[in-house]
Amino acid sequence: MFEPELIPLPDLSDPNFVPFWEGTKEHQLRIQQCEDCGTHRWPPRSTCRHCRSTAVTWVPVEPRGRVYSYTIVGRPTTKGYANTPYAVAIVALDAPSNIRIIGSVVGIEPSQLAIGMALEGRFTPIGPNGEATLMQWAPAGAQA
Amino acid sequence: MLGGSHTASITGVGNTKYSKKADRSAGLLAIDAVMSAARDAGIEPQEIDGLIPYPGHIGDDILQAELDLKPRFRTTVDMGGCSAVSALRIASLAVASGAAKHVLLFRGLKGSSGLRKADRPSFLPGQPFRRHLEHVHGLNTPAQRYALLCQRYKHEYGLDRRTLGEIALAARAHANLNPDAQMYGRDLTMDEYLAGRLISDPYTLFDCCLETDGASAVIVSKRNDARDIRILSVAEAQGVSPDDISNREPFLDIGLTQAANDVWNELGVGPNDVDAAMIYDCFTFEVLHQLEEAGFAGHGKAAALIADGGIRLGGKLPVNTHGGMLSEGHQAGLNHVIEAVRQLRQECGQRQVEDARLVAVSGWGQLGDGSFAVLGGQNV
Repeated sequence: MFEPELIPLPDLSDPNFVPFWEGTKEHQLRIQQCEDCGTHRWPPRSTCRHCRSTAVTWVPVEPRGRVYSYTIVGRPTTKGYANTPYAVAIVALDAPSNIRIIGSVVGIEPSQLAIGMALEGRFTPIGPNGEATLMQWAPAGAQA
Repeated sequence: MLGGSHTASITGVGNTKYSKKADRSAGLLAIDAVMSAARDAGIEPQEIDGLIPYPGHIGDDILQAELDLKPRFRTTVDMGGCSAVSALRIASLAVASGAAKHVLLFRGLKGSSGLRKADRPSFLPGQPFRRHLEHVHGLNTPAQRYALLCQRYKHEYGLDRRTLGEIALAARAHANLNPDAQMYGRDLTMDEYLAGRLISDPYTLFDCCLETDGASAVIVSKRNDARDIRILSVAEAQGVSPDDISNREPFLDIGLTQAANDVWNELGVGPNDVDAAMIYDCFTFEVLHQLEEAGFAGHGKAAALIADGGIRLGGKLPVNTHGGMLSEGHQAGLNHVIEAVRQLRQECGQRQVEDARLVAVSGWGQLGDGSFAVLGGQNV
């Protein structure tokens, strides 16, 4: 449904995202956690909004959650996503429950998607030579 | 007499016709709009001594050179679609402080026949988030991002497609009373709306604003002549995490919520006191969302206001009587300011809101930045 080799790669050496992309390569979803107050945060930032600490660590979390919102894209606007319709969801993680992760959704007819549906991460190499690994979402328990 | 802390007026407005394909350059379009605004204000262009161009459009360097302007004050307001109303605030402060006498807000672009939205640089904040977390998932347009807000709203409060359709149809009906509008003379029916092709669910074709060739100009001055329209109060604010909506909490929080509240508090009037509202309408749902956040309807209640002609001329709250960006043209909300001024001057002919005394104008930009103003004549 999408063309992983055509997806434009971001700057994988961007220090704010290196741990994230290293994680997906190992089929792990890693997010930030404040070293001082323990609050998880996403997307990655320098400072904890709760305690203002800049001490941060990256922790693996279970790539499982439920659809918080989604859209079904009807016309192509991005390289790698020429085949429409496709769905993109904001998924609220089961834990920590304050974190939401955006991702395209595979393994389901877009029209069957609904808010509240349980999804899990699917890891796919992207870029001309599979330089990075993308975590997409798919229905929980479905065959990869 | 009503009045907040701002002592400035809008003294001149001007625009070109809005179209899909203009026969002149963007520079000539802008000059046309600026000259109209100067004539409208009763000043020579050389009296303009402050400039606020719109980012990514015709720059002030061209106008300075072509019209021999000598600005003492120039800046840009980089808040996307809420730049127009936010610029009213900057211009008000500039003329009140004496930094300038006449500040020109303008924009000119061949946004339809020239570079279209998808091909122009993005000014959205949080570009690393966009590239690392969104573009790689096929998410990269305003329609797609705002559709995520709309879908969640639909889940929380319920939303009938026909409610969004009525927003599009009301805009079109108003544009059909406005000869400058890009969609003048082109009717839109509910069946046509419902058959619109999918853009980004829940948005289909007619939920989305136009792309437009054209130019608009507004002059803000420290002057209170009989015909000048006072900027009674204007405010701006941003939602939680202005660079990210995915983890925003509350998810539907936008800057307008605070900005509108600030304006109502400063003026001591409320949503029921305004005669019309010009609401930034990049997409249909953003109109509904902003009507609620500005207090014109409670949360989850705007559908009732929109039903039965409530936002049409003659309704409880006429909205976007010019046709808005959905049907007049995409002028990044500067056209909303212009329409508010013309309504208050009773210059709108067939689409005049009877005895309009107070008109609200909203701006929406980026990932939910908001601005809000209430304008009125000299007699309020």
